Amino acid sequence: MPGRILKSREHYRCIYHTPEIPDEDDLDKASMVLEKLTGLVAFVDEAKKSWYSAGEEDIMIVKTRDNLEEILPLSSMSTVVKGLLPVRQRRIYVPKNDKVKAELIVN
Amino acid sequence: MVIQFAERWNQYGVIADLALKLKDVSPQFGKTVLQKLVYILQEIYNVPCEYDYILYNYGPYSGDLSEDLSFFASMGGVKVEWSQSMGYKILPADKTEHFRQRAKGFLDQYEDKVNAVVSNFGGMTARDLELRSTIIYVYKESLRNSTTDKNDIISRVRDIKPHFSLDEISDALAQLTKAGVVKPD
Repeated sequence: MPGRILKSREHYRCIYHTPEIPDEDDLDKASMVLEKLTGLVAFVDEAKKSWYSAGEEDIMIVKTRDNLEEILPLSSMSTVVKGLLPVRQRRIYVPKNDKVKAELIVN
Repeated sequence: MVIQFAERWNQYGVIADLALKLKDVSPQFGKTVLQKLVYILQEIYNVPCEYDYILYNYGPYSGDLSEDLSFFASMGGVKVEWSQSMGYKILPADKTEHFRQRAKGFLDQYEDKVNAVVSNFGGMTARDLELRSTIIYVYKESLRNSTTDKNDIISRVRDIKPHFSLDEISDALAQLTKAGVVKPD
């Protein structure tokens, strides 16, 4: 079945997705949309990816100041690294044949 | 097949609850302390936080909990601030109480257990908790191997954490045993 729908280009269509880093309202809206689409949804996808882990896996950097060495986590020194938040995107997919119907419900 | 999103409001609620309850209790409520307290909540007090832990640099550690904290902070659930003298600090933010209310059902159900953890472990430093959570981790591992000999546990903890003295490990194990947290032979 999955092979056939890919081969015939009838794969499931993404009907709704949140930003990569959603806020509380985005998550609530995704749940609300999912509820509205009950019976039509083929599957939901929860993309989870962390570009950098700032926990105990943080990269420690040796910094020398006034001839004294101190060890600091990279996330405390780099605003770029600090801004790499974990991805928590939500996506909702429906069968190709139900796409128009689902769009009407969502919009 | 159940099609739904697995939002982690209960886990965010636990982080929010700890941030509020430990504000004037913990000497350094930061990332390491959070990791160890949630580990103890889950493994000893059976609060279903659903985190997988591995043994890492400072004892039991969950990558998922670390990511949940970052994401929760991005939603304004807590503030995570760097301090030169104390490392990372987790502080209540504008929406901390809001998120605690959102997980009210879960937190009410496990309120006694969270309070017990705050009362028994909340005043400890990251170093104290690193040792105690590692002892608990080794004890749980010993339980699975059906060999909970006190000296074996001390020896294994010493292998993992050579920067703690045998006396420190022994004292911490005795304290945990007295509190009924572990029951070595």
